[in-house]
Amino acid sequence: MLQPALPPPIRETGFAFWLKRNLFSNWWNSLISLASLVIIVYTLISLLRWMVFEAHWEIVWQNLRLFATYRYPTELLWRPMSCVALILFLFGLSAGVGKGGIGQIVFKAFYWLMGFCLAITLISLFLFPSVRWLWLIAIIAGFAGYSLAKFWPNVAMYLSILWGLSWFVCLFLMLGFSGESGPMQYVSPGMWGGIQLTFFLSVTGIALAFPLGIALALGRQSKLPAIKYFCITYIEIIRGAPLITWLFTASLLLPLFLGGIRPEALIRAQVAIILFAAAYMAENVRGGLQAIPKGQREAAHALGLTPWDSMRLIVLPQALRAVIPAIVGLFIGLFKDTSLVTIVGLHDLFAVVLGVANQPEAKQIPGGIVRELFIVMSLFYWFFCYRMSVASKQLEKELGLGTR
Amino acid sequence: MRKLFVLLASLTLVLSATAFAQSTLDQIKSRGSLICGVNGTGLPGFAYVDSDGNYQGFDVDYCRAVAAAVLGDATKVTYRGLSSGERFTALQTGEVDILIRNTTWTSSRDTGLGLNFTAPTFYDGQGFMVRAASGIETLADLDGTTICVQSGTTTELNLADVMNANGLDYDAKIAETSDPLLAAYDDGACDAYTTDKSGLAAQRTQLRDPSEHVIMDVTISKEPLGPSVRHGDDQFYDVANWVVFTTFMAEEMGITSANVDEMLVGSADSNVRRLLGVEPEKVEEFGLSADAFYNVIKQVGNYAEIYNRNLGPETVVNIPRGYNASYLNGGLHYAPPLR
Amino acid sequence: MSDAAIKNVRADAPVGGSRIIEIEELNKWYGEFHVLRNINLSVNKGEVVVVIGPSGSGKSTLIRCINRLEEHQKGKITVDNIELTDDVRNIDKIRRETGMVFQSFNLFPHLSVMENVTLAPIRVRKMKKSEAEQKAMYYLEKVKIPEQAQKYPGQLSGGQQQRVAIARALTMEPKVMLFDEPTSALDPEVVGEVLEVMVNLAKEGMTMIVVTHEMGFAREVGDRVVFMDAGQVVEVGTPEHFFVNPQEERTKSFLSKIL
Repeated sequence: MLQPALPPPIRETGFAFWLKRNLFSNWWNSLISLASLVIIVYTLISLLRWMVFEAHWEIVWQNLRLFATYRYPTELLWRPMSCVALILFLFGLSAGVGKGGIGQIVFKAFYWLMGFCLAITLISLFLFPSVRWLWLIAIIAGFAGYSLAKFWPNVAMYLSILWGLSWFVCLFLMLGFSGESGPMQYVSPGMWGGIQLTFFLSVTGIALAFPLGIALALGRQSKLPAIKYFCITYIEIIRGAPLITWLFTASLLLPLFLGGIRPEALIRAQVAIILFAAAYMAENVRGGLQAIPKGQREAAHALGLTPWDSMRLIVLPQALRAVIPAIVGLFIGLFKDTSLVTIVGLHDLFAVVLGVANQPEAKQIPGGIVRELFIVMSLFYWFFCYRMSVASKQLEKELGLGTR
Repeated sequence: MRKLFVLLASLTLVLSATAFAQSTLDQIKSRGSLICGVNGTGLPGFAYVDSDGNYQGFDVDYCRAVAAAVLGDATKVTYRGLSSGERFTALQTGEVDILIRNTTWTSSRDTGLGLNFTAPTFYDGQGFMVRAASGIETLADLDGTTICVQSGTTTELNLADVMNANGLDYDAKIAETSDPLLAAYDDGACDAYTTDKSGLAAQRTQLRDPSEHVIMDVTISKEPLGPSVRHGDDQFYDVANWVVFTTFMAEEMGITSANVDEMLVGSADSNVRRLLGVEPEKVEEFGLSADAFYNVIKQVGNYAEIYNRNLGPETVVNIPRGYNASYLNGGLHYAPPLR
Repeated sequence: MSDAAIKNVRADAPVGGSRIIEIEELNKWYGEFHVLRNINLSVNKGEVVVVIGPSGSGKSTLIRCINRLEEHQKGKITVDNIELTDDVRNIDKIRRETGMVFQSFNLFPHLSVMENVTLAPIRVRKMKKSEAEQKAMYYLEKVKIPEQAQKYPGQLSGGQQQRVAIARALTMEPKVMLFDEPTSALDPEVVGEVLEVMVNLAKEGMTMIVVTHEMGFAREVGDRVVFMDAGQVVEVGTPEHFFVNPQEERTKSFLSKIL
């Protein structure tokens, strides 16, 4: 006879039980818990009191524009803002066409990004007349992209090309090209800064490190010793020193090797970041390549596919899927590490914050305004890094349960 | 780390010595703007970016003065914010034409790094801030006290040197950056706070009650700050040097941006006439147009104007002029004759 | 029993047929280990050759040499009059004419069933996509899973995956099919569906070399059975010969374990 299915044994649950078991199981635990509670409450109250009554947020508000774009000319702010609109539009398209679990993740990222931009838009509507319409347009572009994708799902085929093109368009928009006046006048990278620069350095860094990293990973597995050992040497040397070393090297030594030619400071730092990220990317990709069973390549060969085709169509797509979470992790690291460019004279968000703390107005305030600035900057970094890390976790789960 | 920078900078000098064929003056003229290296993360009163994105400050005004002399337009400056690590390399490799970044003139920078310093624009020196109520007035009064000092700087070394030399005992309380150190002083953790006097003045305003604190009339180090240019281009060095002297002379002669036009037409003093280019030969000898120094005064002002605008009593920084007065008022600023 | 006591025989195809595979004096080493020793084997068009033998006897290595998944050091392999040399063009030609089915299926997990099957015809045979898909459906029907065409391999059972793998090889319309223990990784209850497909294929006249322990399959459609041990061909004969009257001690002891 079949045994009847029984309910699991009853366990004590609920908040009170959890408290009793974890925090008040005996007298000294209770003591520690109470003491901790007092400390936490006291700290929170002091923090809140400081934030509401003492902190000088007005200096943060006054300098929001520096945080965003540093010294980019005000009358030309429509140019970087067009980039924001373009990116939101493409993000909307991507979120709109996304299918399945990965589509969900892209949609969530889009949702949070739009939320962030909406908050900025509301602030600008009231406080920053110079950019309020620009932000409104950017938000509308995001929604437009999402709606367009719903009407025209075939756009999915062109997405990667569009994203690739958008980089060039943004670079062109931010740099401009001609002369000293007019809507498309040249704006030297020396005038860029703040969040604009933080995003530019990290996105460009990861985007260009990606192909380079794949090439290095494949090169490392090459049968030709010259290529193989070049790649190994490169990867191990780059990984052997921190990013700050390579930034200094690029900034101080590169002009020497180039014999009098002095690329812009931005280019030097960007090159260092790309070369640095590529070495780590290569190791991630190598891990992915090694995780692909030998049988996959054999099956491709047995079908008569050329080695190049079997790498391109069979091995790499699987290897890269497997390392997407690692690449997101690398990007998060890079996003934060760009603050190191401060020491080679570039003005990313971190440098701008230091600069604002040294404005004479800030010096009139007891204790300065470093705390306020750092809280705002930390929130910014936390918001983006946390969202990316959540997306990365979801991706990991999604790919793990996926089609393999 | 510091030694590494110096090493790299010296190496750069050797390798880049031959890289400049065109004179700096011609480069600036053909480019149409002066590339001026300034403090990237800001020093209150000397260089900072205001909330509209414009560079302001004492050093910045000297960038504008050089641009006014060479290009006739004080706005034609491309600012390059430099970190302290890269400032000398940037000058040596020609990334900037001139370095005006609160840089102290020392012999090793003159020789080893191949810099040419103009006349100092600001005489700084290490000093002390104490509570007015403490009664500390002389160096000897600091015996047995606790002193807040930034670690890893010449400030820390200067303090040790002078205290040892005078047989004085003290406890040093150190931190890497100035803000936490200042907060510690404000909270009463130290009896005295030491750094450069310009910094003392700027930071005093950050204290809870600035009026309770005084800057002692003691200076334990020489820190002459001024613009520097590359070795090997004497013409541009002369221009930079005499732009600085122009601001001194204008103050000595009582010429300001407000009255310079009157002086231009009305002055019979041949010193004034030579400076403003009414008699053009002397200015033109620099390879500049006759109105070059006129433009400096008209567009930027004389030394007193520059000082008062950025560091004077009306400003937040409010540093007493002290050594930085004209020699006529007992200070150190003194221009050689333009003739 | 020492290795010296093992006989090494020729496994020639019956005279009169048209030879499609000829292997002469084939030798292969893994480092110092002599894994294939002087193999002589030929196969006629339309023949079904079943290779049996204990694990480590070199039977998988033998058929993997035929399409150059393994490189041999001595001897000569000819497939459809093309000699297998280091010349990449020859290797490509031979791979186009030989389909292979693996023990572990080796489907491409990131591609749908349809994409798995049409990839090689499009890339290697330069077929149009529509034509390749038509052909793919024909062979998917043949292995009885046309309804799974849009699914991904991960969504299929082992038996279904192996049938897709067979369809994938067939869509290239090869002249020879190589099966490397196609049922060994399958649950016993789905072995039948794969064998059924293979039997039908054999009955349609496909030339097949099958490494397997499924003696039922050998008896039903096998023309010849080749018994290998220690890198040599020890005994060759019809399936009946092996069931009724195996000659060698080695063969007898092996068969007694698997039957």
